Amino acid sequence: MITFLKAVNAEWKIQCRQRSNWLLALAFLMIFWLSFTIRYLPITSAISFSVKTATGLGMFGCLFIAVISVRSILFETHAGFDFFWSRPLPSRTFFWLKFIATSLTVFTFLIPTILCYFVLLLIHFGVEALLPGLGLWMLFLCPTYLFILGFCILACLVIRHNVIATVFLAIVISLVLFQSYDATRLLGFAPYSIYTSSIIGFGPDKELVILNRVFYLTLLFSICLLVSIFSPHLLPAIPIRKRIPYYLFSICLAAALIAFSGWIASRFFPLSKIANLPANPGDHLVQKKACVLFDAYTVALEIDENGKITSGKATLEIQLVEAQTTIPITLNRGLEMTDPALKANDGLFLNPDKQYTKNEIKIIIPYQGEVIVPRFAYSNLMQEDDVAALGFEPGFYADPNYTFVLRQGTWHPFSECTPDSITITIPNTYPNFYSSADSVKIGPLSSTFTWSESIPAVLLVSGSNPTVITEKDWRVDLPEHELAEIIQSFYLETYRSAINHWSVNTRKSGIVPKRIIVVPFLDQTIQQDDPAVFFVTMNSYKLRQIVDGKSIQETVLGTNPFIMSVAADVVIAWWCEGRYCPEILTAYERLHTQTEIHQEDALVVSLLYYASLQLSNEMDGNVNVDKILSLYQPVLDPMKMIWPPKILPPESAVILLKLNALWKQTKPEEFWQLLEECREQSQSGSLQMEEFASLVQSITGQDFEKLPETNP
Amino acid sequence: MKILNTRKHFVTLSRWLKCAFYDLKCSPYGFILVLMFFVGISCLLVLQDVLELEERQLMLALLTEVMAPLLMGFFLNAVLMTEIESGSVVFAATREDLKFFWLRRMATLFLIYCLALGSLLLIVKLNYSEIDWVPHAVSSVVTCGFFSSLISAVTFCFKEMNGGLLAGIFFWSLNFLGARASLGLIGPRFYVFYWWASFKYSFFPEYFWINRAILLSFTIVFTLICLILLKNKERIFSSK
Repeated sequence: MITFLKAVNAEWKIQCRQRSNWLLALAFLMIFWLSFTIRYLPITSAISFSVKTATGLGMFGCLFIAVISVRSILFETHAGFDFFWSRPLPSRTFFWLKFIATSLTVFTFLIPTILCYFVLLLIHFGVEALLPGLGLWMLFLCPTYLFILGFCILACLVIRHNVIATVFLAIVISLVLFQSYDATRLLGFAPYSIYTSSIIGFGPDKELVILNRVFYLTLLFSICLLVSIFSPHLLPAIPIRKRIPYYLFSICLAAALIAFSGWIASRFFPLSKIANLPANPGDHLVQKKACVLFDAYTVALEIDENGKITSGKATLEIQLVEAQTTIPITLNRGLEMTDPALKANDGLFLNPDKQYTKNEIKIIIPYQGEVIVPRFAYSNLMQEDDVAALGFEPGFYADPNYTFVLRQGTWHPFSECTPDSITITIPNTYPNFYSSADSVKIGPLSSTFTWSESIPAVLLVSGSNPTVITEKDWRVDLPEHELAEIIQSFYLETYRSAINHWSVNTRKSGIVPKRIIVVPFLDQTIQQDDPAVFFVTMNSYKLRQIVDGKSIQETVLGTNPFIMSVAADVVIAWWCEGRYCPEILTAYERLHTQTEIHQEDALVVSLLYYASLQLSNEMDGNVNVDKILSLYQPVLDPMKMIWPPKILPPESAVILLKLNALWKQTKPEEFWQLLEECREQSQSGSLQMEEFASLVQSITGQDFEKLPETNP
Repeated sequence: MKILNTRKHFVTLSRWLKCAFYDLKCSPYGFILVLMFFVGISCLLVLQDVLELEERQLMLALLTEVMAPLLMGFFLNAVLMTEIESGSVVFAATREDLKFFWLRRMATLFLIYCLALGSLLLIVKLNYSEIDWVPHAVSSVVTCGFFSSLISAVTFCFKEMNGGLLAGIFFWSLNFLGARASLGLIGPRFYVFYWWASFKYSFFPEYFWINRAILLSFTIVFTLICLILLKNKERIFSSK
């Protein structure tokens, strides 16, 4: 053993003395610095920073390691490299020695990068981020690098030609990396596109990431076993006397590794399959229309300590139908209906010819399982409009530390229909810090929350308490290490200012919301009036506007675009008060990509945009609404190409200019009253242009059609 | 008036060709085998019936512009370094100039690659006449030259084979694995796999010739660096 350790030490020193290997340290450093943008660090969470850099190093580092390991394994002829041939080592020991020494070399050359990483973690996220950061790097880099080293040894055992082995490994590794092996693909030895959040860590990707890492460690052991079996036959080395226990041990180990890999694959693939299922917005639309058939709809479920639904029960009473009707069941694919007569794919079939008894009109759907968040629900960015309009489709997230439940979601079979009552039982291991329930029964082991009178958008947020900031009568529940101090105060101050100004404009009661809770997954802020809470998400695209403030946008807007963005966020949250309405957000954000637009969408978008412009002006004072709107004048003329801050279709631009004319001819109170009326109208159905014009007429006395379409 | 000594020039040329032939014989047999393998695999991949014309061009560009330069760069790096590292280059270098020796070997292996590439493109052209072979050939040859010269320059600079290989794989992986980011970062004039990227990301390669000219000029610069580094024999021989 001492001889072996001495040999490892000698080999490590030889590899470290090679000047060209120093380039490895440089390459690691360069990849590290290219993996993130330093100016975005203040708006990046520690986990996101660690994962980004580890992903970059995992992907590119494999290739560098392949190059140096092939050389170190096969290059034994040059003076100074003949240490091992001069000492009679068995072939198996030779490969273990190469494996350990090359691992040490890689670690040695990674040290400058690790130091840089630690310094950045320390500066931006504090001392407490160091250990979790190191843990994350080990989780991502160790299995990848060790597997690649093992794979290189196996390849070198078969292809004992330096350049051919290097070319082979480089091409194989890069082709695997080039495929879309994101976190949901088991073959990706350097997984990327991983969900990260300060609140819930890897969230839905946690199990996939851990299984992937364990799988590659298992593969590494398999490779080592193969190498130890074949190396005595393939290398000109001292033969080892084989014994029966050796063969028995090898066979047992091989069987165990194969069985373990099989178990990992059997757990990984169903998760991955459900996570990658495409959205089915059509079923949601059909179900939404069929909700009128429900006389009563109640949901009750129990969650265990791991976040699994142990017992779910949806009870509905339906009307007798005149024609054959199938109501799609939109239950999450991770959940299983326990009644064998019902299948999610078939939907709920209603037959008008059948004479239902009183009991048959009441349908009970029992279900259980684990809600798996599909990847399309992570964000509505880069999605088709109808998919983006589904928003956070499951409406439910639960892991052993955190639970978050929305009223609308595929955690119950008819996600588009609002239940008349909901009962959720969760174990007391989840500390509850927000619930909108009408009644709560706290038992010795679990608590039962019941909603029966009013069911708002957000039902429950439970779990480990985040950082709570209390200042200026506000309570803010923030995740830890999300933002730098200066950015955080600007972020909170902007939201507080927007909510205060907007409340003054629109609230008759004078109650001003005083609580902000940061939640994962949502792309849209939700406002719940009772209690007055704003649920916001830290959208990285929005946060970047704080850092990229000095942009062309700022010169046009006269203010930081983030202020404008927060104003729009608050206005949309108010418009959908008590509801989760990703379809409004989608219409607001995506209209410029559409060639055709619904008239009511054009009207709503113009109203929200104009209101957000006025709100930004109130917040900052430097926003020149007239100057911004003057940019929309040329949009009407397709020959003149000028980019306004928000690209709108011509229909919306015309309404926007008329709204500005209306603002100038009326009092602000009348305008806000008009907006309030429009919101109420839109909640009972879609707001048509004619209805809007009549509202304008009745509230302000102006004829909307005759208002000028040009900016004064 | 100076009379051109045609015989002397003829002798020089024939000697050069003879030496090139011996270099070819001395060159790693793996190189020839790998090239044959490369042409065979490429034919199988490019001539698949299921591919659309666009996909076929993408596959051809991937093989000739992205994969082949890595292969060439790594093999050409070993031309002199294997002998330098094993200490046997001194025999060859006592008889002739090291620069000339390296250039001739590079040119010989490059010529073989051109033959392999030509045969691949000919097979593709015979089967799919609508594919324009010229840009594929130009992009492949220029990229191969660029990578080979870059890798060799770094190798001679460090006097170790690993240096060039690491620099080559670093630059290659940045351009291939981080293709979209690199294309945005370094721009269409300097991006190395421009022809392949034009198929991959479906854009018109308007800067193709400028891009190739820039890469060619870089190749010349790196080759000059190699020649300067090889000028001093003692420096190379004292590498170990």
